[in-house]
Amino acid sequence: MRSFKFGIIDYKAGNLASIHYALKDIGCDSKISSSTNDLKEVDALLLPGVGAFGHAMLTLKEDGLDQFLKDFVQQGKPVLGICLGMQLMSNSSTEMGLTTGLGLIPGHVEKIANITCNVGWSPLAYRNALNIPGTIFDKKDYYYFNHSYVFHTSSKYVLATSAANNLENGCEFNAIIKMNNLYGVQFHPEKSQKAGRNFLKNLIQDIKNGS
Amino acid sequence: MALKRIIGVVTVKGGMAVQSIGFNKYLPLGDPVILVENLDKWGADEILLQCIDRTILGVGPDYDLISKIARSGIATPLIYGGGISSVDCAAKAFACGADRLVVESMIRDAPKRLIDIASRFGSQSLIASFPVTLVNGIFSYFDYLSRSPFELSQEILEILKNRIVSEVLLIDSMNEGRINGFDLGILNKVRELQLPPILAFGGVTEPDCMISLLKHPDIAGIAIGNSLNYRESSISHIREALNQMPIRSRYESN
Repeated sequence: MRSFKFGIIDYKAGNLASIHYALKDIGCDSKISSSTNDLKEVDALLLPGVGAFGHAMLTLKEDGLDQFLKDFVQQGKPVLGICLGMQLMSNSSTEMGLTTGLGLIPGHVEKIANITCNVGWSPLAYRNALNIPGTIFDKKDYYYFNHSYVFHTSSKYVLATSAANNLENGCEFNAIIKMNNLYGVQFHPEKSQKAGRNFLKNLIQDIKNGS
Repeated sequence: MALKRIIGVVTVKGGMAVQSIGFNKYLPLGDPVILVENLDKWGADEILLQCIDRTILGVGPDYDLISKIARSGIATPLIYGGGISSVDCAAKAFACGADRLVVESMIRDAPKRLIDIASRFGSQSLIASFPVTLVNGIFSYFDYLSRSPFELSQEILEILKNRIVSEVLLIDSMNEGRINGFDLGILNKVRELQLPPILAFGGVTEPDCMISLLKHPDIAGIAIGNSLNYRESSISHIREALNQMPIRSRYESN
């Protein structure tokens, strides 16, 4: 039986190898490409992290990937965005000037408040559970964040939040968002050690269940 | 900032992991991929892979090594340093498996390129490295390639002030590879510059030194090199010793 396959979008930035091998580690196949032909037959698309909004959107448009993504979503197929990848799914971002995003999940990306960058490990505060039978999200797990911007969206799409300077006294931001079968995570599950691997496994199960 | 971090450092010279002493003496340790895998298994918060001869040899980043490490499937963020001199270098390093980059020579030789890299990849992906010396109260930035002091130019100071880089790796060159402890006087000397959050490296060996650093408000993380290789699961022992500090107390080995 063919294993689930992600198409990892290459927008000329992104920690492509990191996510590719993380998926391989959990038994998930993936293909890295900037070609819409290559990406047509995958089960889900993945927008990786590491990059800046303006340049990423420019590259997506140059390669026709912006429309490809929108068409993919229109067909009801799933997309996962990690860090910048999550932010690209918004309507717009103010990073390096106002730039239009893919508009896949309503919302806007702005600079994180009070600090320049949020780099390091933080726990999550779960708002709504991912309803996956057998899923255990350990609320004490830490995940690795590395970002300067955050995605503001309606609370109905927010599954979990986090905060720089930990949850007690930091500025809260959206960490996991979901709209239909579009998923966005602000942290890097591919670099969050065992918690991150478990998260990816659970997320893929959620996608397969078509939740 | 998030919780402060324990960063495991693997120094590579001639393709081999080495124990570095004052950037002057190098003792072989073995295959860098194995050392990185150990740090990943032991739960380092980040792993810094510094290839210290790439710039001087003019050979650019060690993409093969980054790729080998990525193929091993490590699940810990990888910071790569060594030979990064352009946006294209940076792009390829990220594509091969780096998650953040540390740059040193470029800061002195072509500081404007940092702006180009930050525009493409975000400031959070960039760390500026500054070896420093503090001897008899005299503080200076140290170019370890020419082995001579240098002044921070106004251009570099503007880049730091504008947070083009997310963090600064301050290397205590006098104590690097030694057990004397990172000289906290260095942090006092740089305070007036209002640098981005600091990662301290060089002589960070004993728990007392680590505690002093982690208590300092300007410190975002401590980078530990040689001493991590002398003991199995060294990082978990360090975490036990630092259990009152604002570090990640919970992790599970991969």
